[in-house]
Amino acid sequence: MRQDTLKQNTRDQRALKQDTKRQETGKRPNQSVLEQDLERHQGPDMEQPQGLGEHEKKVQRMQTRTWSRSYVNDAGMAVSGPDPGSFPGDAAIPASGRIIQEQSLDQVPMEEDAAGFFLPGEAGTFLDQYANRRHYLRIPRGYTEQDPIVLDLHLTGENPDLVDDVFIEAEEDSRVTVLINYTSEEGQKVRHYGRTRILAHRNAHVKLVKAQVLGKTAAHTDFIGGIAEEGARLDVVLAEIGARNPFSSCNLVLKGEGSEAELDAVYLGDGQRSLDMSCRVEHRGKKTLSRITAKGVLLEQCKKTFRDTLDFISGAAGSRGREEENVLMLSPDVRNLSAPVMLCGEENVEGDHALSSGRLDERILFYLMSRGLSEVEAKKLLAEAAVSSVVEKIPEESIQNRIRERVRKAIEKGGQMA
Amino acid sequence: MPKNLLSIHNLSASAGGKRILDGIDLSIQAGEVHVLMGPNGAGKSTLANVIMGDPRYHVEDGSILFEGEDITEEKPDVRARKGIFLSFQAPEEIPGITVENFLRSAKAACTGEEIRLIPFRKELRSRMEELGIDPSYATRYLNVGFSGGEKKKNEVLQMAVLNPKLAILDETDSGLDIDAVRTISGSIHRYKGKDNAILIITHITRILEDLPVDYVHIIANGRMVRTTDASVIDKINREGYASVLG
Amino acid sequence: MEGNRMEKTGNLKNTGNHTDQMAKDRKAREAEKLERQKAMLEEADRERFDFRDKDQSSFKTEKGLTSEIVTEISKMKNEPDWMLQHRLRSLEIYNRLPMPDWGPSLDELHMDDIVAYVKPNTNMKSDWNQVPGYIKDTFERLGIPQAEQKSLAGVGAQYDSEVVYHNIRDELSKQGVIYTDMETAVREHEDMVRKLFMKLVPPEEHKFVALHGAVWSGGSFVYVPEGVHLEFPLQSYFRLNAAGAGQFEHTLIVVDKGASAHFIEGCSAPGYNMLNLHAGCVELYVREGATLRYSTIENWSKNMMNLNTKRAVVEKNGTIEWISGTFGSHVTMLYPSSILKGEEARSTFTGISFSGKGQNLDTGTKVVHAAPNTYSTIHSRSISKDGGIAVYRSTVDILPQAVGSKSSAVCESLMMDSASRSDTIPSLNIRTDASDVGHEAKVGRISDESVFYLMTRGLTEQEARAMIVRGFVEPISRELPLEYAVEMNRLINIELDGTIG
Repeated sequence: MRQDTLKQNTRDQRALKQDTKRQETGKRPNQSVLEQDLERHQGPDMEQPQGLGEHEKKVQRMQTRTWSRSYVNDAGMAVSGPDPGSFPGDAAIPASGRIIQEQSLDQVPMEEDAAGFFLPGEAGTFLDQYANRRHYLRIPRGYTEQDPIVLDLHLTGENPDLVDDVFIEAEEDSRVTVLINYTSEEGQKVRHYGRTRILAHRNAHVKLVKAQVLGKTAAHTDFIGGIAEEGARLDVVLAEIGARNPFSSCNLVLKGEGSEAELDAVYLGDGQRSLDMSCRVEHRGKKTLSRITAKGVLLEQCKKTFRDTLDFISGAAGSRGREEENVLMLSPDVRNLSAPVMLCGEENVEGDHALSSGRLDERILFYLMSRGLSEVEAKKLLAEAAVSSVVEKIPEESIQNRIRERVRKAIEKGGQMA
Repeated sequence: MPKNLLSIHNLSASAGGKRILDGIDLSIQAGEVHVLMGPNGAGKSTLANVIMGDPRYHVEDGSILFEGEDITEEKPDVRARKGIFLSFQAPEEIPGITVENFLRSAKAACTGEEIRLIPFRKELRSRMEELGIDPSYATRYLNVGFSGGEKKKNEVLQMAVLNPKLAILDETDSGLDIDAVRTISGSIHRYKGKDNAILIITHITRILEDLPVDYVHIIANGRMVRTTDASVIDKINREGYASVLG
Repeated sequence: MEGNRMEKTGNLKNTGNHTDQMAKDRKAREAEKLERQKAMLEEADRERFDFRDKDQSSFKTEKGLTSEIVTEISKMKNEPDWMLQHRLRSLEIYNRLPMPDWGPSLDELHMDDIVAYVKPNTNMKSDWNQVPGYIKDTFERLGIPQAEQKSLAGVGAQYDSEVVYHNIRDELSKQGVIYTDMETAVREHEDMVRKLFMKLVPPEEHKFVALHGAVWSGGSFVYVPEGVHLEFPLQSYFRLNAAGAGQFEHTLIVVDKGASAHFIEGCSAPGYNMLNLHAGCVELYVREGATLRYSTIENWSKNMMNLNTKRAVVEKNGTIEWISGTFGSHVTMLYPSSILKGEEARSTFTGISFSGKGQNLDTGTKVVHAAPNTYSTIHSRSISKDGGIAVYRSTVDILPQAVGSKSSAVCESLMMDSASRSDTIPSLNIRTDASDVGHEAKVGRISDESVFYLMTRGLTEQEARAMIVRGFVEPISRELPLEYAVEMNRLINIELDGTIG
């Protein structure tokens, strides 16, 4: 029996690691009511990611595949791209002198690549070869960096191509917050491709904030991977606010006993944009703790796919994990897909999942309007409120404000249609 | 000549196809205190919510005028900006919006002016003090985790800050202890002036003790059955509604 | 044969004695003794289903599947040509479609080794006394006729591929209720069957439904006319007897406008070492304002590949209620699905699965909200133990036109040990903002505190754990007819006795 499981898992893993080559059987001549209904309303694009360009491929996004008609198994992603050339800017990130910095990743101590979980081999090769910003940060043993280390990356028409590869190694008992902030000039065809890896040694505490507030015409593909050793803690805040079709992944491995992870994601979907996110926490060590929280606002004709997985590996006794996603939908045309997966191979664990999705509560809207707020104002306030618990975790007010502003603007535009 | 604030003519309303208000007439002048009473399910809260523009109810017939303007079809925010306020029986909990942020936005919307943070904060503080609300509540999420009494106080706080022309208090006193009712009464007193009016919906009458009640309306089965002076309150207290519904 | 049966009966009696004894000296039991009893109990209980008859079939197809075999099946059943064409088309689709690229491994399944069709050497009888002795024995041991006598409106029993016994109470026939085997329905109610047969679940759906379309045999057809309310449930019992055989029964139920019915399906098969395949298909048409409850307690033996497809389409104001208990089989892939096609159509799914040693039970449900103000609730509980794998898999689709719809799902998994697995793989596809969708899932084990608490009140650890598990499945067993609830609790007790030790 275990063999079966292993077989199945290996099969899934293999499929996940490699690019998905499976061809869907295409349109079938004799469809059931169900299929016709589904297809009429979803269109073929639901299954077949649109506009797979030269460097794009359909890749598996679920750790464990499910029905093709759930539309969550695969997604199109840019697995490589043209040589991005160089990306200007300071070679070193402003930080205290105690932080060891390098602009190459030759010294990276990699036994295991958590980011590789969702990363197709080709994409890894592309990053290895073409990254035009490489940062290796080491936080020395026992040291606490008080202020967040901020990496501001701004893409412009002149410097449209950023491929960044960041590795954060936190030695025993160290603490650090790293904030990577992506912005771009609106209307410019810029491209961001990135990978951020974290290795938190014993009792280290790393908070990584990735705020993607790119313009709406930007391309964005991003991978985060983190490993926590004994007693270590990973806090990841992931904001996917801009870009045309943002594509991101985060895989955190709680390897050591008593390690913890907190993953907060916030997203905004508007216009015709399509968001694709896969988040996963693997409980491998004993007594590990995790929490995944996602808050999102969707409007107009956008499409969002959010997959979150808690994976309790046999042996992770005494572990607890919780995932939660709350989606606020503000338009009748949004496409909201979720796959809240829980995989469990250990008896002595507690796993919890909650998902809620719906429109604004009419009673609440009436309450706010009875205090004089117009419908759009009230919606803005409520949309802001819906994401505020995650936004507040970004340790930089200007970024918080930029995100709030984007949410408000989207409501203003979309709210007039509704 | 007192200014006419609210006049309702022959108002009928329904919810889910069921008629709940039937030919209601009501007129409120500036400076007046009105009390609306009636048995459970008579339509008291419905009337309050219809005046506020609750989308759950459909106005079938009649009209609502505020300061001479027909607002029957207006959205709730327009009514609020004209100066109507409703203290809800069961206020909504809204995580993610702080009391301060919310009230400042509301004040800005109602006055049409930009509300500067520092003076506003000061005003809010003093209003909260009057109501015996802990200042830390300003940064708490709106009504989230508030007790029943705290929610009611928060409604009265909003009334005090927004300073409406017509305040409708829907059972703002129910579920409160004597001290809390006294505190709220105090706030209502401070608010009450010659230019504004109050419509109080209540079951218990303690909240009315110190207020100069001008009119008492008795509503039953969605119809206004009687409008009279304050003396009826004692009668209802003694003998119940049956004695006045006749 | 006769002697064999006597011996088995003897064993069954022993079980009874054991049970009595267990009740008598509950507290005095020691671990070793328990172990011994448990082994015997388990054996004896399995016995109730495991007695197997000598293969007396009159006809058996060749092992592989060809158009000749399919044509032969059709000929033997005296079918109209459209049905033969349907079979041949399904076969072609079957050959074309790939194996599923998700779910449990089906590598053990070698389709070429499956004897597609087994026909017992008897024709259908409506008088129980006319059913051949060995078949009668089988069903009597399963308790079928007794059940009929007690409270069921009609009983159909399928032995391997053919329905051997079908009966319906006279008064129901008078009201126009049709309850018959599928073959008869194809002949006698051809117009209705032709319009509906595999229209809801077309052979293109997946490989095993295509296989079903090619070789289907037996099953039930039910028609409940407008406004008729069946007070007692209809029941079908399927039993697979031949080694390495397949069972492909087709169930088609139409509950017409404003009518209501409850259909109970039970399945079992004796334990052979050879792998068996069950690829049934259930199509339920719930018309305007009608209600159908479809209950299944499945206890296939542990060598069964149970790849079953069930689907209901619900018209305006109609209700489908699925009650689904999965205990047996080696591998199960079963996801009863509901298409809420008319306004205010409703579906509820209540499922329990218990996955023990050597089992991979992949179950769940699908709901498609395709009309305004439709409503679905899902309540699933699973238990996995001794290396068993329990998977809950679901999709909820809220289509753009389904404004005002609500869906809520709660699924809970209980892990009895770390050799087992419990996976929850839902997906939700929401296409309108005007909807309320909630999904909650929990996985965990029996809490030590609860066990301790019960033990302080005098229960042994095993009793405490058993009590908690029974409590865990109570919301499901509550939904079952009494005899099935009892049966389910009995199955759980058998499974649980292996827990300690």
